[in-house]
Amino acid sequence: MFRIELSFTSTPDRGWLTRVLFSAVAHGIRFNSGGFEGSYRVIPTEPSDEIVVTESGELERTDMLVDAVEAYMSFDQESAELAMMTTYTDENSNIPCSIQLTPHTFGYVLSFGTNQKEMESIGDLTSFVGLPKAIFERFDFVYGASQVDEQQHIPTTIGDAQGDHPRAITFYSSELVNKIGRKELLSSPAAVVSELSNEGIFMLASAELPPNGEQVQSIREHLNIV
Amino acid sequence: MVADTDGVGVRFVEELDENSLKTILKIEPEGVSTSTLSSLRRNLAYLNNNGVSKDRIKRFVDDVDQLASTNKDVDGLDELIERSAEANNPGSFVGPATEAEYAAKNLDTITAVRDDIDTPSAGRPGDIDAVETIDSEVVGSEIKNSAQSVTRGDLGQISAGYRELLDNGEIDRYQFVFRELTDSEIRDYLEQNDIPYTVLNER
Repeated sequence: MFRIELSFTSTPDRGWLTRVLFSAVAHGIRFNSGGFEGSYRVIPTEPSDEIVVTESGELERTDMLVDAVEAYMSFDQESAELAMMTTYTDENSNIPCSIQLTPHTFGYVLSFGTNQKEMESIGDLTSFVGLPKAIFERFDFVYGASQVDEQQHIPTTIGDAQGDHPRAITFYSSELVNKIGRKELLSSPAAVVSELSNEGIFMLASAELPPNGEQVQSIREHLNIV
Repeated sequence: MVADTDGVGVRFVEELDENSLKTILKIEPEGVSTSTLSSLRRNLAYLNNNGVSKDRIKRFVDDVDQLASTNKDVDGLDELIERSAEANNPGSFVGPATEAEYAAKNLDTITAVRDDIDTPSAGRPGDIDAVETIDSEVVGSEIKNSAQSVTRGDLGQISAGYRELLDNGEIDRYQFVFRELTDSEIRDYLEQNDIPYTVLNER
């Protein structure tokens, strides 16, 4: 699985989650579309109380994302997980996209993921990455980064994020940028480094995935990360 | 390997015993280019310097050697090696390393690793990590080193995809395989949902 994880600390409420999903739809997310079933599952502490809803058939049902929000809100957000299988659409492709909201130590992680082979099939990886990038810019996140294969989940605190970056793809919040140094980040030897509208920074380590270790290492050295 | 990796390669060579070093230098699996094998050797030195233990690397090299030297054709071994050569962090290495370990432990039944499939309408999985033929049944395995990168939502979504593959007759059985599993929430979820799993280190 290739996914982009975005971490935050305040408990997700109905309004916030609805706005996030509305933004995701504006950037290509659909439910039960493009040959992929739409599904959502809400998994509370007790697995036997899990809610699983799957929609198949011809009709696109993006409206059902509202039902997913309502189902999730009926559980304790501090312990329940929300996992939705959606479809990401752009001009050239439809690929499955798993959107998950999970509680973690000291906060929460919102993720957008797809299978490795679908990621490779897109060709232009910035297309799919544009989705979490838009969400990161619009809402208040601590940190964001790619989680590829069996990499650990990203941390949810600024302090831990300072020890975690850079990954293949990294989103720095303005607070994290201030801790690390805007000039240093912007002059990193990465394929793409750009400023975001929320004063954060987006970094793509190399044009292809996975980036080779030497390239990540050269960024680490530039940023004086031991 | 030493020339291309500066001091990292020297340290790596010094850490390994003679047998492991010989194995690393001699493995030549079919379908894998010499440049990929060179990249693999360099990358193993890099990974060893970045958090992967020498014992884990030795295990991987022995497993690949065993898979490469068997008379049996294991489809996908070349891709598994390519992924290992590209893995730039421990998290990207342990996946293919665990797949190699599982395949080497099941040489009699393994037929393919990283088997490419049409993604089921459930959206996942994109491939089957290991395919075996056991008593004329086709068994597909989703292999994880541990549960550290996995959510319960992942298990539910992947399991839904495997059930679709069962219904379509592409496989006869499926299972999750963990090299180690210490997360009780994940274990509870698997058991409550009747999702078949096995743990390599508990066998």
